[in-house]
Amino acid sequence: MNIVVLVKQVPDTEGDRKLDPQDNTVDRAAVDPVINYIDEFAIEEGLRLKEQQGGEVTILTVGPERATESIRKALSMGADKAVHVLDDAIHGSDAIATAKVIAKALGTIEWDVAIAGSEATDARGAVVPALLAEVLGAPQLTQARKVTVEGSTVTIERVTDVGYEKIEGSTPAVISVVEKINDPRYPSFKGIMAAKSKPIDVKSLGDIGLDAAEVGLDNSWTQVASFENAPPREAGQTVKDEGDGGVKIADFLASKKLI
Amino acid sequence: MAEVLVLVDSVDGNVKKPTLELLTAARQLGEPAAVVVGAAGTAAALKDQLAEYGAAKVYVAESDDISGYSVAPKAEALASPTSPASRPMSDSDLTSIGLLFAAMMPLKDG
Repeated sequence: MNIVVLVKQVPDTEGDRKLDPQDNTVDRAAVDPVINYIDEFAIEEGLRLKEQQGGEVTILTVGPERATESIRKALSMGADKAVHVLDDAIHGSDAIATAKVIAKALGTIEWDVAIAGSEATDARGAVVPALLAEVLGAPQLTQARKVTVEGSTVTIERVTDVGYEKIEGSTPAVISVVEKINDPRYPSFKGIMAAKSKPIDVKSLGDIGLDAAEVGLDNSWTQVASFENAPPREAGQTVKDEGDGGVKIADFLASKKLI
Repeated sequence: MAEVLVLVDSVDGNVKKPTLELLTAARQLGEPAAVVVGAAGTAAALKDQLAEYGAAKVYVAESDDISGYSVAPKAEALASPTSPASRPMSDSDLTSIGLLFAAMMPLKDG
């Protein structure tokens, strides 16, 4: 089974993340980049599927030069090889334009399942897997908390806010997984050493056969029109209980119209 | 006035809260129209509640087969009432902007 895991590099959520006021896109230089947290669950799921079904795990990343660091980490977890779509014209692409790039890149790889994290911590749209399935005309098996493959049938348990739905589709299929589907492994020392020599195939838009007029900030259907930074946290108010603590709390709640 | 479509999410004959919130948001933008996609009889149970929260119109796409699919029928139903071919053209159509709202599953922050 040929497994592709979609990995996005994002600014570390621990850092002070910013948008670039020049063009309102994510400022990727402001904070150290890391693998999108939920993608680690997707990588783990891909590796487990390989262990059950055989085959290869290919990491597919669309991103700037520095995304290589995240690709190496994914390879050190045990993936076999990677495709890195790297082209300055992609900068500023929205979710739809990004889905087009991924779809075209998948056209250059033999694949049965493409696994993504359910959302990325930078934009939090959670729509790229669904858009990708639509562009490809492939079944979308999103928000999975469990994935089972039998022959060419993929069955998932899709998390909803009242329980879960059992959904099945046939390969090639697009899957997105939620965190807690598994317990992502740490790269071993051997894995880190092996990752250094694993192949990363760097492709331009021309290599995947996509016209630059379909992607990038200027050609995206959506752009960030303006933004404001989140206000700094205000210091809280300390109420000292001098026998009237309850009354003070009640007054506070009443002033916020909570009671 | 712009018609604002709201995809209805319901469980066991009850409209879910995010849908009601979306109807309220839609009221500020234009005329809310609810889109119900589900098994036969789904809309009848929800109609009054949707009207109470401001839906001026309810589009219904019902079939017992629909419950066997997760996404595609909802996307089709949302696309069809806004398509010019399926609606009588009038002057207001030329100025109205179709807006779509769909409630996203609440996801944990992090």
